[in-house]
This record gives sequence, C-alpha cells and structure tokens, in this order.
Amino acid sequence: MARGYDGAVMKVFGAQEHTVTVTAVEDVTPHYRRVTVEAPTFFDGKTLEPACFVRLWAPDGSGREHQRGYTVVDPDPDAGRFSLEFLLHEPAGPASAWARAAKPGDTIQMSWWASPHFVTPDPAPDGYLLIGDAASVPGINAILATVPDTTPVEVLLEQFHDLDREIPVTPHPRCTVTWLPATGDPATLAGAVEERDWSNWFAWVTGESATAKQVRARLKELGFPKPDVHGRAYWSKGRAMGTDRPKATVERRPAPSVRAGQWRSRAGARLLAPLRSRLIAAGLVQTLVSLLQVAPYLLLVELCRRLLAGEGDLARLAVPALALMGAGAALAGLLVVAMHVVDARFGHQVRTAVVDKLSRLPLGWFTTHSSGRIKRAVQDDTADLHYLVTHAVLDLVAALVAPLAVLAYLATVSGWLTGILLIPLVVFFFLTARMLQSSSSQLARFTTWEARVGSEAVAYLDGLAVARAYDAGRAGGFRASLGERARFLDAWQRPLSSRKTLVDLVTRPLTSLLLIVVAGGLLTRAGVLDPLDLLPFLLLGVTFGSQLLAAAYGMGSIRDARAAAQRIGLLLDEPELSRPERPARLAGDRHTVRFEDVQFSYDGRHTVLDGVTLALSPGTVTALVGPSGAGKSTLAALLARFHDPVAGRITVDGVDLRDLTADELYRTVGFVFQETMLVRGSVHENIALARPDATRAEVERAARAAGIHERITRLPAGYDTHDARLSGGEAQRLAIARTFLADPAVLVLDEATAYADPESEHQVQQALSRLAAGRTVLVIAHRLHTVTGADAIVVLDGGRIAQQGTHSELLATPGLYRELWQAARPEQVTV
Amino acid sequence: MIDLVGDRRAAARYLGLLAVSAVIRAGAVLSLVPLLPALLDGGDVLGPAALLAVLVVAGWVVDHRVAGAGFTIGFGLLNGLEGRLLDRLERIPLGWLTDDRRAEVRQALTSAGRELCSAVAWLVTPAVNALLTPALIGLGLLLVAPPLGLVALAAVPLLLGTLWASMRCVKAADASYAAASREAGARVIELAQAQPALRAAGRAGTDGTAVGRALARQRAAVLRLVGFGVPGQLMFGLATQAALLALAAAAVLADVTGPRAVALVVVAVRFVEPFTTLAELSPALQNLRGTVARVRSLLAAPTLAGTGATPDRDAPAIELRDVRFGYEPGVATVDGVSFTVRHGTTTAVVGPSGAGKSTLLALVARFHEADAGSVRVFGRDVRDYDPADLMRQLGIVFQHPYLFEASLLDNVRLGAPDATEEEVRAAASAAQLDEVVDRLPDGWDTRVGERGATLSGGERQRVSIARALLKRAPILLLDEATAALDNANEQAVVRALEAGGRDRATLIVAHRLGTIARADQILFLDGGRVTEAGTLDELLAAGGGFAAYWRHREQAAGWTLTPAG
Repeated sequence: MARGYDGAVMKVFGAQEHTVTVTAVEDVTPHYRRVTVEAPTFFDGKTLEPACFVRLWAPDGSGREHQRGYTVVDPDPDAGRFSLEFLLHEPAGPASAWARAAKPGDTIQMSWWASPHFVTPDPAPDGYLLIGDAASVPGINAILATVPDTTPVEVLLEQFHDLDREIPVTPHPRCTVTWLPATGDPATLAGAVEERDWSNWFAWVTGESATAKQVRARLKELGFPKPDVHGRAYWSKGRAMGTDRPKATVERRPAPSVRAGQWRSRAGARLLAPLRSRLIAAGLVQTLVSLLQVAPYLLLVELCRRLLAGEGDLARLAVPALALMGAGAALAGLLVVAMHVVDARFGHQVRTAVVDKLSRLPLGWFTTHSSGRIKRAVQDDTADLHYLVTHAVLDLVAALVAPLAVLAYLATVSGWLTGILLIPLVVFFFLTARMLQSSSSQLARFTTWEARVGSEAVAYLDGLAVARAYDAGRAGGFRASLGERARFLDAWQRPLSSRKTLVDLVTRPLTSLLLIVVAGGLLTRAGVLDPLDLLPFLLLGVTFGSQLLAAAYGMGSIRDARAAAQRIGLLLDEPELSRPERPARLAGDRHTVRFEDVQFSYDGRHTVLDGVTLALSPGTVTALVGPSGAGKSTLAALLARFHDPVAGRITVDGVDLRDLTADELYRTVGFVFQETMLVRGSVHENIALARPDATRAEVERAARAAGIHERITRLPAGYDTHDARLSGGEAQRLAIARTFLADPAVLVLDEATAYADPESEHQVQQALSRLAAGRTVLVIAHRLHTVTGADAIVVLDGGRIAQQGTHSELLATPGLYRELWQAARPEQVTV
Repeated sequence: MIDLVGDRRAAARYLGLLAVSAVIRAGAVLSLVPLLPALLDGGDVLGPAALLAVLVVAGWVVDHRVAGAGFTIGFGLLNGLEGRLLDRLERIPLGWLTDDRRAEVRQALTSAGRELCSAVAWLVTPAVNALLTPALIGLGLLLVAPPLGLVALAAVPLLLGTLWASMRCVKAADASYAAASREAGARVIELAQAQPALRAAGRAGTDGTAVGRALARQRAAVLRLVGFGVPGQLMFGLATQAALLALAAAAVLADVTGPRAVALVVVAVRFVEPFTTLAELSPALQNLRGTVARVRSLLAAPTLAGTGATPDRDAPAIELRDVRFGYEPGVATVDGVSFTVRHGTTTAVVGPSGAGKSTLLALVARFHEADAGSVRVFGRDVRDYDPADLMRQLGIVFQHPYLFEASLLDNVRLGAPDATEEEVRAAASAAQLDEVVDRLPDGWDTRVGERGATLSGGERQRVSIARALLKRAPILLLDEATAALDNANEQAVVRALEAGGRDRATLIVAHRLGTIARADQILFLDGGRVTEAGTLDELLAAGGGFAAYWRHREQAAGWTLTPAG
C-alpha cells in the first residue's frame, strides 16, 4: 500500500509498525463507534501516559493508506488490548470509513511513533477548560482521569447529532459538561466561552478545525497565554481530513470588558519583561561585533586574491585589518560594560523586590516554607539571571551570527559548493534523530535512575553512623543500585558510542576540508567554479558547520534562566497580607482583645478553627489548652497576625487587626514563640531591635528582667559582643529581653518555649513569669500543670471552644479538661 | 586524572593513539601546502589530493580507534569507580564527614562515574588534540617555511598563555560574584528566618536596614566585575585575531610565490582554529577538574585502621585518661577528662549544653580521635581495634535516631540480624514499642518509610533503643535517648535499661531526672571538665554545681505561669 510522504518520513525515522486485530465493535451512538483491538506486542516497552494516541494507517479503498491519529481508550497492557473511538462523520475520511466497515477479525497497522500526550502543567492550573466535540471525548476523558478532585473543570462540547449527549464523559466532582447544539456557524462554541477572569486556567481545544480556530482566537482575547492553551484540530467539517482545508475566517469581536487575567505560568516572562528591550539591543550590537570579527577573514580572502594576482599592495590591507580588529574590540568592550551595568541594576531590582515582598507576606508563610526556597531565589536563581544577562545571550548570538553570516556569504560565492558543505550537517541531523528516536525510552529510565541513586545516596550518608554501629552489611542495597545503574548506562551508551563517533567524524573540520578540496577541485576542472572562489571556502567554510552545532548547546543556559525567572516570578506572586487603606490607631495601654466567630483553614479544605468567639480582658492571663491539632497554636498565631482569618475577625479595642499597620499592631501585640530569632549585630542591637534609640540603661534593665544580664556581662565584649554564641535557652531570654524593651500591652506566648532548652528551662520560665506581669496574655499550654493559675482556661477541641473557666471550675465539671488533667497525672511522679 | 584509571596499559594505548591522531591531523593540514598551489594554478592535483585523502581517511580510522580506547577507559571508570568510592567510605571516620564534605561525597557517588566516562571521549580527546595539533603544525612549518614556522611556534605559548589568563579572569569574576552574592544571600536568609521578629520590630524591608545595605554592596560588587569581565571575555578573541594577522603577514613576508603564500595563509587559519576549540571546552574542563578533585579527596581521606587488638574482659569497660579534644583548633570541647565505667554499672553524664557530653560518646565510638590522652575500651586503646571489632563491643542510641526504609521489625532486628523472633519482640517490648505496633496499620510489618517518617520522635527513639537492647553489646552508649519520651514511657524505658544493667556497662548522657536518678555514678561536666562525680545523694549533699542544676530542673518541672512582678 502506498503511504506517501508520511510513510517515508516515518520509515526514515525508524517508526515501528504493529498489526492489530479488531475483536469487538460497539455503537455507542449511531455516529460514535467504539472499536476494540488486540495487539499482543503493542505495549512492550511503552509507558502509558494520559491522552496518548496511536497512528493508524487507514486504507481509502484506492490502494493508498492515510495516517490518522486516535486517542487510546481503556488500555489493558497485560492483555495487549485497547479501544479506539471514532466519530463517524459525513463525508467520511479514510479512518471513519474504515471504522464504519470494521468487523471482528479485521486487521490494521498502527504505530506509537511520535505521539505526544497530555502533561499536567507545572505549576498545576487553577482549573481546566476543555473544549471540543464528540471526537474530543476520548482525550477529554483521559485528562479528566488525571485532574485532582478539587480542581474545577469546564467542558464545552459542540453537539452535531442529537445522541452525542449519550457519549459517556468520565465523572469528576467539580466538572460541568455543557453540550451546545451546532448551528453551522463555527463561532458558536467560541461565543459560549464566558467572559470572566480565567487566570491560571489551562485550556485544551480540540475537535472540528474551523471551530477550534475560532475558539483559540477567543481564548487569546481573554488573555490566555500560549503555553496555557493546547490546540489541535481533529477533523474538518465537509472534508476528509488531511487534504486542504477551507480557510476559516475569524471574526473580529469587540474586546472583552473583563480585565484579562494574570497567569502564573507567565510569572517569569513578566519578571524579565523590562530586560527584553535591552537584551534585544545587546543582541543587535553583538551581531555587529560578530560580523566585525568575521571581517578579518574576508580581508584574508582579499589578501590571497591579491597574492594570486601578483599584486603588490599587500601592506595596505594591514590598516583596515587593524582598524576592524580595533573597532570590534572596542565595541565588544563597550557591550560588556553595558551588560554589566544592566545586570547590576536589574539584579538589584529583583533582589530588592524579593526582600520587600517578604515584608508583605503573611508571617505564617515563613513557618510553612523553608528558607531554602528564598535562598534559592535570592542566590541561585539571580545568579542564573546574572549569567543570562552578562554571558548567555551574547554568547548565543555570537555563536549563531558568525556561522550564519558565513553561510550567507559563501552561498553568494558558490551555491554548489555551499550545498556540498551542508551535506555533513544533514547527515548529522539524520543520524542524531535516529539515535534519539531509538533511545528515547532509555532517556526516561535514565532520569528515573538519577533520581533513585540521588535519594539513595542521601539516605546512605544519613544512615552511615547507624549502619556502621550495627554492621548493617556493606552498604548492600546502595552498592547494588549503583552497580545496576552502571550496567544500565553501559548497555545504553556503548552501542550508541560508535554511532556518536561516526557523527563526530562526519562533522569535523578536516572532513569538510576534504569535501571542499575534492568537490572544489572537480568543479574548477569542470569550469563551473573559478579557482579564486575556493579561497573563501578554504578560509571560512571549514569550521562553520561545527560552529553551528556548538550554538545548540547555548540554549541550555537560556532555558535555565527562564526557569529561574519563573521561580522568582512565582515567589513575587504569592498572596500578601492586606494593608489598611485608612489605618487606625490604638490608644491607651489597657486593651480588650476579641475573637469574633473566627474561622480558619490553611489549605481551603481542612478547617482548623471553626467559629471561635473569645474575649481577653485587659491584664488577664488566658490559657489555650486542648489535644494536639485542636487549633491552639493557630488561634494564637492569628492574634499575632501570622495569617488573616478566613471568616470572622479579631479586634483590639474594637479595631480589626486588618485595619492596623504592622508597626501599630506590633507596638501593641508582642509574641514569644519557640523559634528564637536573633539577627546579626551586637547583643545590644538584638535587644533594641524594635527601639533602636534605646539607651544602654534601658537595654540593661530589660536584660535583667529577662534574667540574661549576668550571662551577657560574661561575654567577651559584653553588650557590644557581635554574633555571640548563646545556647537555646539564653537566646530565648534575649528574645524575652527584646519583648520587655518593646513593652507591648498584649502578649502571645507559647509555654513550650522554655522546654526547648532543658538546661536553662528554669530561668526561661522565671523570665516568662516576669514578662507576663501587667499585660493581657494569651498563652498556648502544652503541659496543663503550667497554667493552673490562669484567669481563664479555654479548652479547644477540633477547632471549637469546648469548655471555658478557671482551673478549679473545670476540674469540678465532667468534661474534656478533667479527662486531659487525669491523663497527665503520672507527670507528678517523676521529678 | 590518569592515576584514577588504574589500567595503565589502556591509558598508554589511548595516549599513544591520541598522539598518532594529532600527527595525522597536522600532516593533513600541511599537505595543503603542495596541494593548494596545484589546485589554484591548475597543476597536478592528483598526487597531493590523494595524499590529503589518505591522511584524512587514516585520521578517521585512527580517531575511531582513539574513541574506542577512550570508551574502554571511560566504561572502566564507570564500572569500577563507584565501588572504590564506597569501599573507601566504609573505612572513613565519621567525624570526617562534615556537612560540606557530605555534599561533595554525595555528588561524587551519584555522578562522578558518569561524568568521567563521558568526559574521556567528549572532552579529553578533543582537548588533547587541540593542544597537540597546532604545535605539530608549527613544527612542520619549520621545515616548509621556517619564518612562518618560528612565528607559529612562538604563537603557541602566547595563545595558550592568553587563554589561561582569560580563564583566570573569568574564574576570579565568578568567585567575586559568588562571594558578594553569598553575603547578601545570607542576610536575606536571616531576614526570612527572623522575619516575625523583624516584622514585629518594624525592621523588615530594605529601607535603611542591614539587608538593604547588603544588597547595595552587592550591586556595587557586580559593577566592579566589569574589571574582570572585559579582559576575560575579550582578551582571547583579540589574541587569536592578532595571531592570525601576524601569521598571515609572516606567510607573505616569507617571500614565496603567490599560490604557496595562499596555502600558507590557509594553513595559518587551520593552525589558529584549535585554540578556539580549546577555549570553548575550557568551562567543561574546569568542571572536570572539580569532579576529579572531589573524587581524589574522597579516595585520599584518612581511614580507620586497627592493629587487631582483642578486648581484655578484666579491664574496666570504658576508661578515659586526661582526654582532650576540640572540633576546631584552639577550642577544647573536652579539656582533660578522666573517668572509668566498670562492667555492670551505669554512669550518667550531666551538664549544661555545649559542655561536651555527646562528644565523649563520640570519642568512645571513635567517630573522632582524641587530640591528647587515651580512650580505652576493655583495656585497649580504641585506635588499636579493627573498626568492626570495636563496633561489636558497642550498642549505640543516637540523639537523632535514624530508621531505614524497611519494616518496623527489620529496623529493630538490625541490632542482631541472627536473633530469633522472640528475642526481637522481647527487646521491642522492653523499649515500650508494643503500643506503637498496635497503633500502626500493619503492625510489625509496617514500613516505617524513608528515614522513619511515619513515626513520631518519641516512637523513633524507642525503636532505636530496642535495636540497641537487642544487640546485647557489652557497652551501651545512650545519647539523650529519653529526651522525646513522655514521663510514663521514660520510666518504663529506664526500668528496662536497669533490668539488663548488670550484664553490661552503660554510659548515658541525659538531663531528664528520672533517667539519671539511679545511676551508679553521675559525672557533672562543665566547660569540658568533670567538675563533680559521685552518686546522686553524694552530689546533692555536696551542694555544688550539680546540686544547683538539679534544683533548677526540679523547679522547672513544677512551674506554673503566674505573672510575677
């Protein structure tokens, strides 16, 4: 069977064909047919990804076969069975026609070759918009199977036949399916896409080609960036697909009134946007520089020409040569200086933006995200950007411009010889493509191996002490893994190595030289080529091939920089704490704190606080107790505005926390939690952090109150000691001294603070007792016996207040408090 | 890197073939000297063309062999290196593995083999070729056109020198950038870690804060990089262009006929080109040097050796005599400590943090070696034991228990792989693991995940204790083993430890009173020295540092938060 161009391409690239047999045919609707086939060897060595499709060769009855792609449905690798679903449309294309006539026992040929599949975008989209028609359903079903249950999905399908609605769509808790009857106007479906903020949604557009085109135009209007739209037409109305399609005209519609949304996937591009014009300008200058650097060779050509012609005047060429060199160097120097300036400014801007962003993020963000992410953004990612600006772009342009300019020049000298010079490159592409094709499955295994060995290495090193102490065998598992990986690499690369060597030999300069000499010689003998024209080739043409190939490697650092920009961009897009438009002020020093029906959840799914209403009277100590996970720490953290409540509010003297600036809030509310936070600087600076103009006397008074003054005087430089090495408990007392100096009227406290450093536990406890005097205190208690003296004990359970009262009141009442108290009783036994 | 290879013959063969390949290449280039004039003039081309063709084809054949030899070496490295690294690692004292070294070792283990394998074929081969070929061309030119040959040979060291200088500039620029970046980065990380405190103090932005100043300094540092950037990026290019023109001029001045001069000019261009290749390869070569350095540092790390001493059961189990040790030179963490632990007794080490308690245990287990004094186990210095023999005498419970990705039972069984099931369960019960097993879905067979992730801190500690109990080693070293346990569990574990206490010597670092109350000997360690030693009653009666410490611990246990002015 003739297969035409497609067949030739697939054959050259080594696609594997399989013959499959039809085992069942089912008409889901009169126009939608499901064909089940069996192919025992089809799944060998293939990993199944969502929405992957096969290419089948459908006969058209006249001796020719056409290649069509269909999504795999219900694959069963063990049995070697899967299904395909065909939309039977009129007039029928080859695949449709074949499906219509298919019966069990028929055979057809299929191939996996080059079938892209659905890859979940990273970062995961906020929602999915899946648009198409009955032909799209298999793909859409496959995607729905991978989407998490909490992500909303909108499916818009164009209905061409009444019974299309009967075609089953995979159920999904947050998916709405809308079938729109087709009106004959391709723009109908596009018009059905709502005008709303589609920020961070991902669109998958398939189906009829004219409709798909309209939909994609509409999505573009709505602001969808290109990477967030996947579009592929599956069939053309009125035409057997594959031949020329009628041109679909796209209507201009009025611009949408809703502000186009902002996609997270574009965060990196947004970050780099100010750089873009400068990088382009730099690229242009670099082009000029590269051309100037090629110029000396042209002068050499001229020199050679004069030598052959016997002309004398050779020294005069020296002047332009030197001038070109000088100009090239000067321009290049200016360019380097300019790019460094650009980088210094831009880098500073980015880092400042990150730091300022940090000061606006909710404090709770810092406990859930490791500082590693920030370190990466500020150091490693900005280093990638630095490299991008100062080196990568310039190098890439230089690497591309020179060989391309040479190519253009040589083509003007002799088209024939230039064509011959390109042969090694063409051979290179073919050989490499074949190699990639045959080893692509291995590549995936390689990445898996790297990840596995990496994590096993970490585990091995971490467990080394234990392994040694317990003689846990000679690192058996890890050693075996390493050995297996080495064997895998050996088996993979060894056969490839001879091919790679061949490729290398083909593209090396001497091969090109031989080609030029031989071909050039023949052409000159034949009178087609003027011997003088050989000169440019001999001087310039020998290496341009390998230079062009080397340019490909430059793309890697551009990719890295874009990934780095994306990471920084995402960091800068994190949601911030709201800021008050008209900030309020608090007066006096006796404040009442109220929690009014406060609800909170960290991730939107799991509720941590479920309507807590509580009042803290001025000057009282309120203790939060309860089983772990009840929400004590969270409630206390909300008062320190680590997060904002999802519903309800927290007020101080009737003023919502959100209406206070950070400065005003923290003048009034202080907190002492388990993490000690010392900053670089002297002890004095650490204590006086909130009040930089405090006198030494005031600082000392605070230190005495915190019980750390003695310890400080024993330091090498006393209060002026920089980066003092203090134990956990000593650092904690320093933080308490800081709070003494800041003197907030309301205090949020974690009782376990003291417990962190058992050695100085006692001193920290005394300091906390002193700190609590005269303030409104909210304390998180892990050990019940520490808060028996509190004015009010609030028992939290499952995010709600279960009981409230004093210690004796609560003990007298049967309830959670009494149970907890009795369970903790054995504490009394040990000292 | 050659000595890493091990197989000398393969290396010799490879280098020999490389040399031949370079000679052929140079020859091919020089064959242009007779060939081009013939081509341009219309003379007899056949002879020289045939010569060129033969040389090029010979070059293909030889290079194919070179590649083969290179791959043999490369694959040899791939298959053998990792095994050698692991062998070495097993004999390295654990104290050598600081955090930095750990990262390097990890990198060496995971990617060194692969990198070295591909480096030989794709990096070393072209680099050596690029080095040798121009020199050989220069030598050939000496025979053909001496003035040009001289200029060429003079250009070789000049160009190499410029390349080296330019690489140094780039390296200095990178180092300077990294330093500036680190400083500012550290400030930002501190900002992130102390954000709550800074926010509460109103010092969180870039305005007038330390962070802001650090960032400004970094910007200034980046601007100064220009001083490195300009020479680094331009010097070499300029040098090659200058060399080219100089060679061209020399070719012309060599006073030869037109076509021959042209041929020499073409040869000059072919002469300069390998230097550019070398420049392109240099970043990768730098990386290769880094990898090789990492591998070599691991292979050269000190190893624990022993002289095969055997324990003397009559001697005290543990004996330290005037031991001194410091992590950093000049700072003595252990400053003249002496004590003895006899078989059948329990010794507790107590004291303020940083006093060196855990270090004592590490010295007994030979994770570090004492700077002065002697550490003896069963009468022999720990350095005289074979590492495995020493470990056989010790059961260790670490401060941060590490569990392997295996079932709970297997993790406990690690203590004594040949133990019967009853023995394993008995040890686990003694360590209070029964309630943990009841809680887990698969009981004993529950996989405790990577690094024992599904268990709480206290539960992991109990597994660790069970492991040590199972081993029944004559010496038990416990480092804060009960820190994460609640009171009931702590008491039970202490009882279990006591139960077997007569059969072994126990050295325990702890600060929980229940754990140390009944020790036969309590050592109070303060500032690296044992300031007090005795039983609990003796030390309390003495009313010294320990008594004060004990009192504080009691008060801490009974504290309630009552605002006190």
